[in-house]
Amino acid sequence: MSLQTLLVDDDKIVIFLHKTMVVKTGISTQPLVFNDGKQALDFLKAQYSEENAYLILLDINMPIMNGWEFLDAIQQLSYAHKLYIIMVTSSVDGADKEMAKKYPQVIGFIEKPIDLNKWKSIKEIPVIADFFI
Amino acid sequence: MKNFDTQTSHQFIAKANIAIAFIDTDFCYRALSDKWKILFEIFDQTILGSNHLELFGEESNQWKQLYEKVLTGKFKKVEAPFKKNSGIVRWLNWDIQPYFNDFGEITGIYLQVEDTTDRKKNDHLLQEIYEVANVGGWEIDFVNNAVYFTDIAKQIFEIPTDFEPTIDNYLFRIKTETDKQLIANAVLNTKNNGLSFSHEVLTITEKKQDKWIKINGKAVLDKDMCVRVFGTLEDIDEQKKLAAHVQKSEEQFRGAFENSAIGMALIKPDGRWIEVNNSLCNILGYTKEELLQFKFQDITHADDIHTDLQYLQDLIDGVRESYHLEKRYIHKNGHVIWALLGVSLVHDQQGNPLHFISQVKDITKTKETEQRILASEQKFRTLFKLSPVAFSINDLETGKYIDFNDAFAKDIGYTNTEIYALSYWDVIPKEYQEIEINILNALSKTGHFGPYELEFTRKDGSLYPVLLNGVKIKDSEGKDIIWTVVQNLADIKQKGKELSLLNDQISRSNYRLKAAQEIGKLGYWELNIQTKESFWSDEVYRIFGIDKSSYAASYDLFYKMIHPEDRNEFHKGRRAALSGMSSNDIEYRIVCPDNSIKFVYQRMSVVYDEDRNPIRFEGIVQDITMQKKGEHHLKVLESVIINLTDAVVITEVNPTAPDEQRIVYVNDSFTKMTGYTKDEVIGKSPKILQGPKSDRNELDRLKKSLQRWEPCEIETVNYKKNGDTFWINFSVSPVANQNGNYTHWIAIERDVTERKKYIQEIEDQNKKLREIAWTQSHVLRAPVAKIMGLVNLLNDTTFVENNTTEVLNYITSSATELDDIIRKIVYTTETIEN
Repeated sequence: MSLQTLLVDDDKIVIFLHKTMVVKTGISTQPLVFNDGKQALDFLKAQYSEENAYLILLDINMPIMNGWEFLDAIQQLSYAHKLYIIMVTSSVDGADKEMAKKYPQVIGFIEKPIDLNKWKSIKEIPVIADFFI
Repeated sequence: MKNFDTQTSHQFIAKANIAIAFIDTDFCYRALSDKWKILFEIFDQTILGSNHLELFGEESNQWKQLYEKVLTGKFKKVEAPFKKNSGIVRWLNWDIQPYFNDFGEITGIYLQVEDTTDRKKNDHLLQEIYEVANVGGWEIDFVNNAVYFTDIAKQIFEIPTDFEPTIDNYLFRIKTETDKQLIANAVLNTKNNGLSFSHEVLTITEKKQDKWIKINGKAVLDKDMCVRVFGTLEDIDEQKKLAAHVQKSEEQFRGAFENSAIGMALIKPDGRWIEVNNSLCNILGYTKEELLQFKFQDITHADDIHTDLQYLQDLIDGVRESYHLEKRYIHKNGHVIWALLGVSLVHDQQGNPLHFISQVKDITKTKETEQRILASEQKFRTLFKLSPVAFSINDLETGKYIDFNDAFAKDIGYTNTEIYALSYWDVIPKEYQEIEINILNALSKTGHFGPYELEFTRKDGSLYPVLLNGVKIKDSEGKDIIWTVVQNLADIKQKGKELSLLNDQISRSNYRLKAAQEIGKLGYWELNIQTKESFWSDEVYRIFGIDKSSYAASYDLFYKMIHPEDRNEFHKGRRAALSGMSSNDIEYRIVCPDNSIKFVYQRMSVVYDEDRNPIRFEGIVQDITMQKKGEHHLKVLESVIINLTDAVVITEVNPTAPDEQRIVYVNDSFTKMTGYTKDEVIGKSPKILQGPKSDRNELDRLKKSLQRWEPCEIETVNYKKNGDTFWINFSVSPVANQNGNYTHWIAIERDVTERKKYIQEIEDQNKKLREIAWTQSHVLRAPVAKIMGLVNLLNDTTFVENNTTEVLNYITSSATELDDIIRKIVYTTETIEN
């Protein structure tokens, strides 16, 4: 089983940065890019494969479907337990962090910018570390 | 069968200690024991060889069938009744076995019979007893390792009747492991040592409820060996719970009994103390041990024994359930103890008197006071009634006659009943009603009035002149009443006599003086003009702060004590009295020996002889220091209220509808604050200040406090006269009159509109500041984060160079984004400052 990486952010510069770094740090050779939660959700519904687990870097403030709405929507999915989500925000707010605890799929909370060390630390998160050995 | 036919065998069998017999395949006796013969009453010596079945008469055929089965190799045990020739029926237990020869062939039948009639009877009886007593039976048979419970035992254990107990499970209903072990060990001990046991253990029923049972066990020995342990089971749950309950109530009762502040005792029907508590011992002065030696009659006052015993008899006869009695005991040291006694009777289960419960409260002090009051009341009443001078007592509020004496009734010409229906308004002609109002004013100011000369109307309509003097006093319920001395001036000649009579009354009657002294705090003095002799009542000494035993009353002493600045005032009063003016009231200061200054109110009169020559001065003095100081204090307080910048509102409560209030006072600040003048609001309800924007919750809270007479502070919107709203902080407290009843509310109201506005402004500012903070953390950081990320990329030496232009473009656009946001922040901040 392999780990498919999804980048969800409405800012193209952020996408550029994250895509560059994901490839560079070896998290994924071909990360998929979505501009809002709805696009990512549609992809999962259409393309979900039993062969894969999914690492999703999720921005909070986005048009159409924001990070929280996306989190609410995936709770209905039968394979929700195979989604590993890292919340990415420009400023870590205590209230946001508290809110994220309600969603079992959220495995991390990262403040932008994500520097090299932070990318490396993602690979060491216990629940997904096995995918990078 | 040859074995049976030998002589030795015959003799051996004959002597056997049990009833046995051998019969052959034709059912004829081949051998039998002497016991057999006795049991079956066989006296025929030629019995051997005769047919055994003959014993059974009509039933022989059934027995024959049974024996035929035995001859096929079956073993049989039968218990059956057997009717003897003598007609007696006995229960017999038959043990019937086939007899085998050396070749294993059945050659006959071996019979052994036991008479079980008695045992059976016992078993049956026992069974019945168990059933009646609801006692279960159990048995452990060690030979067969079997456990047996009777049906009742199963009921007690609450296990189904088809449950088959075994040695391993028979104790499963017992609640605790400890108890299970206890019973198991007891059974073992009984088995090994033959000891009986009896234990009470807690079981747990099918419905998970606790149940107490009692288990008894006993050994059954067979040749000194214990073969069985059997015993009984009893449901003692009720008993146990009842016992616990009884113990608990006993403890509670004992606690209440021992610790009660009231004397308590249990007394036998004959009067002997059974139990007494400490309080009772303290009241009566005896120790517990001493009291228990004798009867209550021994220490009851002789005059009260009869009544007490009569009441006790009533309790025994069921005429009454309890009684209360004020009675006297004799204390150990001889003095009389007055007690309030409460007694009730406790019956035993058969309804026979068991004991009395007595409660004894020491009321000696109350009783003594009561008797003193009664005695003085009696004396006073006699004096009042028989005095030749007319007295009347009226209710201050209604003017109704509450009491009067014979002299009053005689003068006015009404019967007693008629007077009680009158008020003083009815007897005073209209032209004097102004004086009457003066009287009431004087009463409310100084507590006394007079002398006033006016006329009273008799029943027949005629008028008679009277001279009135009076004081305001309180009756036992705290109600204000007026005590008036009504001197009849009808006969001028009579007048002199009656005046002197009155003087006698006032100066000589100790009671009158005491009453005046006690009631009005009035001091009475007199000065003989010729002899200069002086008399001061005790109250004068008290007011002047002089010790009666060290100083004799004298005019010089009196005069010296008057404050030098006020001596002229005193002379003025004297001159007024001499010139016949009745309104000679003066107030002056005195300097007491301890240099304290007191304010004194004085009124005096001149007593003339029959030739109208003055013979002596009489004066009444009253200490009005408190009043004066109070007045001063009031003035100070009032000036505070008047000058306060907060509005002050005093409201009076409608006594019949405590929710309703009307304004009786407002200060100037109130007018400034609300626009209402005093005249516009006095008499109105304070609700005129409320309106639709007033805070309902706060007003409800206020209303609740008002209903409970509790102080309260609220903040709400109020309305000015012109309709403008303003915020007030409103703090209100109840005011009690001297009787402790709440009659008024004082409210202090502060205009907090400015403060409210200020708070609102601060809150608005805070909201804007919060917006800025949020923008900074979320929006401002987004482009910063991007720039930082992009710069990191550029610094990375491994980064592919042909992407540099793209990265730089991204940096520029992020920087522009950042710039826009900062401009927005500056703009928002400017709007706050403005």
